[in-house]
Amino acid sequence: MRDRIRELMAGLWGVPLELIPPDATTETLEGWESLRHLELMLELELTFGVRIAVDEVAELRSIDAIEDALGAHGVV
Amino acid sequence: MRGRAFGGIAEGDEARWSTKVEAADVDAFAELSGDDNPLHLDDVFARSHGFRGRVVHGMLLAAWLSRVLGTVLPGPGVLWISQSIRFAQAVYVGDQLEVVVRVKHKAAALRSLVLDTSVVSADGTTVLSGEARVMMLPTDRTPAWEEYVAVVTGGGRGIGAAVARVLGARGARVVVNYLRDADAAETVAADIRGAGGDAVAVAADVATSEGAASLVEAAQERWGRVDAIVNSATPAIERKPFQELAWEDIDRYWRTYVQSTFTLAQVATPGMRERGFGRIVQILTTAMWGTPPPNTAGYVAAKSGLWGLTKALAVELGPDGITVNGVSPSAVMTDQWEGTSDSRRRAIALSLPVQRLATPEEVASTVMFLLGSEGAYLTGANLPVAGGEVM
Repeated sequence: MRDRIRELMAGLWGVPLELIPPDATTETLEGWESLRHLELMLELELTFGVRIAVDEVAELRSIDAIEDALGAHGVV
Repeated sequence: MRGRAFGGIAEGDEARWSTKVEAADVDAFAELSGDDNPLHLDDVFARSHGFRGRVVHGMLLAAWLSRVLGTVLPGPGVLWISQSIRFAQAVYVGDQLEVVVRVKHKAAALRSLVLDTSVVSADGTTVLSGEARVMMLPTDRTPAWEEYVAVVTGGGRGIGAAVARVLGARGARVVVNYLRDADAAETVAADIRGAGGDAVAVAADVATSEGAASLVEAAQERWGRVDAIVNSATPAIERKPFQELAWEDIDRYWRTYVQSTFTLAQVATPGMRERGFGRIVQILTTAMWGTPPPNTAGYVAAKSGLWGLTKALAVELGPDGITVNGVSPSAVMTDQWEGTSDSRRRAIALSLPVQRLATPEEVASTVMFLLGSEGAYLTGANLPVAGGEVM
């Protein structure tokens, strides 16, 4: 799952996969800022068929948190 | 405001806009963009490469797509995040085109949309196709007072009547609710009509679900919408020691304050959400601030419950442009105080920092602030209009 998220981020933002570490967060990954975050949240909805809740948007600021949230939404 | 509120947009919604390509459009786009490629400007050059004539800039079609996104669907406040584009066919001066935008996915928590975008020629050929991703920024959608429709419960007397009259003086349309005193409510409605607004007096017991819902229905039937609800209805306020209090006493307050607000909000908010604007204002009380007066358990419990509902609704409805607030008056010169002696009233007035009682109009002016665009950034607030009784 973690690698699928990384691949999705790399494809969406047009950066090489190796530049997105598995433990990336908005604090550690340069360029993961507000508009890119919005694009990523939207892409997660489309790719995994989930509906992200208002209170999740601000929390999903690391690959760890995204992986956990997708698991909670039943994505395996 | 043109365009739609985010809350009023659903997956599957579609907008279409037609135009005929004029030579002047192509020339103007070349001038604006600096793209003077002879393929766009020189018929002879274009024909010599197998085209029917000079080819319209693909990005001019994208500009017309921008026009639809920015003005129709989703409309003003749109932030265009990304766009994929495929130019499938050449377009020529004189072609009749239709821009089509269709909502493919709505991400409510992100205020974002994924849109199928296309440009189709008169013979049905898709000349441009692609996908737009956009975000909708919240915008002020406050209607003009002349278009504003409000329901005021308990609007025949006291604070409710004062609010209804001020709304009427601004030109608004008001449902003046009353329980028993038809004459008083009709007088308020007549005053509103005389002041340039419009009004209807509607008898309903807001302590019942049917009664509360009927007020929204009355407004929708007459004016097609409800922009604001002011919950001012109250049963007679009686002081009773707790041991003498029956559950029925509390229940009457509870149903009049909390259940009525619940029902009115639940019936009115779908329309408010669709228009991206709504105001709900509760008349609360300073009795629920700090230490309450003795022998008011039922009243204070129900008003406190209403305050809890106010905050919860403010959180849930805020993203759709609906604010939910309370106003807490102290001692106001209404008929609720008719049984109180003059000396008691004077004593209360002198106990306040401003040393006088409030008029219903003074409470109404704060309610009006919350109902209009000036109070747009307040939600989940409880404003004391209390002459300094609570701080």
